[in-house]
Amino acid sequence: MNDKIFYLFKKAEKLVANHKLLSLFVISIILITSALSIIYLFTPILIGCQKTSNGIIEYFINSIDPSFIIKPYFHGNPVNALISVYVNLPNSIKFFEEYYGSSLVIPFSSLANYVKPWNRFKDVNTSLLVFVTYKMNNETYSTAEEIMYNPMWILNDKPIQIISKINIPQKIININTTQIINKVRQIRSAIIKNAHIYCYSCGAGKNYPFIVNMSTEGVIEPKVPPFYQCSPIVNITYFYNLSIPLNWVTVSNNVNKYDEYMLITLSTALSGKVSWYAVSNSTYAGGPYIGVSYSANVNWVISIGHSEYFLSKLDYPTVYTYYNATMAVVTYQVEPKYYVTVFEVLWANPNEIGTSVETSNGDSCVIFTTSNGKHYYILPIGNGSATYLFYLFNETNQIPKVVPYGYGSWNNGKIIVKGEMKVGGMNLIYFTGRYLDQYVKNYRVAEVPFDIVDLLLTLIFPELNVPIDAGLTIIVDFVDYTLFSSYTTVEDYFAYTSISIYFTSFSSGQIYVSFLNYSANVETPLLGFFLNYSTYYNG
Amino acid sequence: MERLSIFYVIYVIFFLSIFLAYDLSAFLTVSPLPTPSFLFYTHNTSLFFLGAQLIGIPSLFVLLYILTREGYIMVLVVMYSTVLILFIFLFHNIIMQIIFGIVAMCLFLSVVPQCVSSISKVLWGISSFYLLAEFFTPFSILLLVPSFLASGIEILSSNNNSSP
Repeated sequence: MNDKIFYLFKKAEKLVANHKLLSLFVISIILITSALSIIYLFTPILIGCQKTSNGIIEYFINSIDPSFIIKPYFHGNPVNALISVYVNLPNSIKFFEEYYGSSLVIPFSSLANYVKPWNRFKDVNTSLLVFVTYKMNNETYSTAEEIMYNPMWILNDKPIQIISKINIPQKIININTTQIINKVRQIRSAIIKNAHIYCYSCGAGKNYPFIVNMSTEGVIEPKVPPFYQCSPIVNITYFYNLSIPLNWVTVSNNVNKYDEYMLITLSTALSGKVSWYAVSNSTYAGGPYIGVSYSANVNWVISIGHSEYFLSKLDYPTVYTYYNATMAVVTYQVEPKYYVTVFEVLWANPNEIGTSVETSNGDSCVIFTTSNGKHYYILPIGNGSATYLFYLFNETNQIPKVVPYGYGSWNNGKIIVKGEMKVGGMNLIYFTGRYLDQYVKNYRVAEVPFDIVDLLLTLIFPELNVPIDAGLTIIVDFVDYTLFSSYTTVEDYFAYTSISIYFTSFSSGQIYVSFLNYSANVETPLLGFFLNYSTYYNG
Repeated sequence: MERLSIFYVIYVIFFLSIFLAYDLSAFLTVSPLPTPSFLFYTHNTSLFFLGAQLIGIPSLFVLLYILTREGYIMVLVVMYSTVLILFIFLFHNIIMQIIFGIVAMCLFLSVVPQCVSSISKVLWGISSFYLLAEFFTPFSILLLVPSFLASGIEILSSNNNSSP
C-alpha cells in the first residue's frame, strides 16, 4: 500500500513537472469543489417565508448576527434606494431609520428599546413597516412592505435573521382627477347637508351614536442624498379601540313587518392563530397585499340574539359581532403628486369581543384629535361599524356583490328550505358560513379599486390633506382586503358562523338570505348576510 | 482511459457549479451584499439543488456510457431513471427510497471498473453511498468528496500516462 501511495506521489510529481498548469488547475478545482461541498453543511437554515404582492420575507436561523436585512430590487436587479423604516407598536408607529443604499441591516439590538411595549403581550407577532423609494432619471417609484416578526425574538436576542426582498414596481397611473374631484364634491355636499357639525354629548344623544376615536400625526423624514429635492413626509392616522365587525346580519324592514319569528341569533367562533394583513393602495405601487402587520392567538366565541319585538322597532337593524382593534393608516409621500397609503391593524384586543345591534338611521360620531384639540363630527350613517361600512360602499358606488345564499319558509309547522338554509328542529331554521368558499369562487367580482376608496379622503375632513383623510376608509379597506382575505401561510384557525331563526309552531314567514361579497379575494368565512322577505337582496 | 478524463472533468465541474450556485445563493442572501434575483435564496433553492443532482447524475453516466460503451452502465441509468420516476410520482415511501438509493449506488459503482488507480476505486466505492444516505442526512453530501478526489487522481493519472 505504501508503495502504491509512493508511486502515486511520484506520478503526480512527474505530471506536475510535465503539465504543471493543467495539474494545478485540476487540483484547484478538486479542492474548491470539495470545500464548497463542506461549506454547504454550514449554509443558513431557512425556517419560514412569506410571499407578498411585491416581495418575499424570509426567516433564517443565524446565531452570529440576529438582524433584519432589507434589500430593494427594481426590475429584478438590486438597486440603491431610499429605505424608510417604521416600528409598529400596540397603539402607535415610531419612525426608526432612513437609509439610502442597496441593503439595510438592522441588528436586533438596535430595536430592543423600540419594541419594549410589546413585552406585556404574549404570543403575538408585530411588524416593521418599510417604505422603499427608487429614483430613476426624473421618475420616482415607491412601495411598502410589512416585515412580520415576534417582538420576543428581539427582546430575547433570538438567533434569527429576517431577510426582506422588496420589488419596486415601475408603474405610473394616469388618474382622471377631474372625475375624482367631482365625485368627492358630490359626496361631501351630501354629507355636509345632513351632518351635524358638533357633537356636544356623544354617547348620550337620542340615537346613541357609534363613536370613532381618531388622531393623526406627521413625520418629516430627514433629507438623504440623492433625495434632497423630495424629503418624504409621512402622515399617520390612528383609529383607537375601533370595533371591527366579525359577522353581521341585516334584517330588512319587510322581514320585521311580515314575518312571524321569535328570535334571530348570530353565533361567531374564531379560534387559533389569526393574521391581519396590511394592504396598500399600491395596486399601482406593489400592493395590495404587503405582508402581515399583526398576528395573535385568539379564542373568540360569542353569540347574540334579538327578538322580533326589539328588532322591529329599528330601521333595517344590523346584528353583529365584533372585536376591538387599533388601526392605522400611514401615508408616505415623496412627491407632491405621489403617495403610498398603507392600512394596517397594529393590535387587536384578544380578550375583548362584543355584540351589538345598530339601526341604519342612527348616527356615527367621529372624535378627531389633532394638535389643535378635539373635533366632533356627527354623521347620519348608522350607529355601528357594520352600517358605516355599507354606507361607504354605497357612497362610492362600490356596492358589494350580493350572492343568493338560501331560502326558508315556515307555515303552521311546515318548513321548506333551499340552498344553505337548514332545518334545525320543529321551530328553527338556520344557516352557517362554512361553505362560502364555493359560493365566492362562483361569484367573483372585480376588486374594489383603491382609487375609488380614496375618493373619500376629503369627505369628512375637507380642511385636512388628502392622505390624512384616508383613514376614514379604513373599515372598508380592512374588511375588504384584510378581514376577508385568507393567506394561509401564517394562519391556522377555525372559524364558524351560524345564524338561526326561531319561530312558533303556529306562525308563518319566509326569508331570503343573501351573502354580501366585498372582494374578489374573499376566502375567510368572516362575513355579512342580508335577510329579505320577498326576494334576494339586490343591493 | 484517457477519454474518461472528459467524464471526470465534467463530473467535478457539474458539482462545482451546483455547489457554487447553492452556497453563493445562501450566503449572499443573508449578507448585506447585493444579491442578483436568480441567486436570491428561497425555499425552492434546495429543491432545485436536489433536483439538479437527481437529473444531472444519470446524464453524467450517459456520458460515461458513451465514452466506455459498457452496456451495464446504460442499463443502470435506465433503472435509475425508472425507479426515480416511480419514487417521485407513484410510490413515495421509504422502501422505494431505499431501492432508489441502492440503484444509485450501483450506478456510482459502475465507475469503479473504469478506474486505473485502486485508491480511486476505494474512493468511488465510498461515494456510491451518497444517494442512499441523501434522504436521511444532510451530511451525505460529504460522501461526494471522495469521488472528487478520485476524479482528480484519475485525471492526473491519465495525463501522466499520456505524457512522453
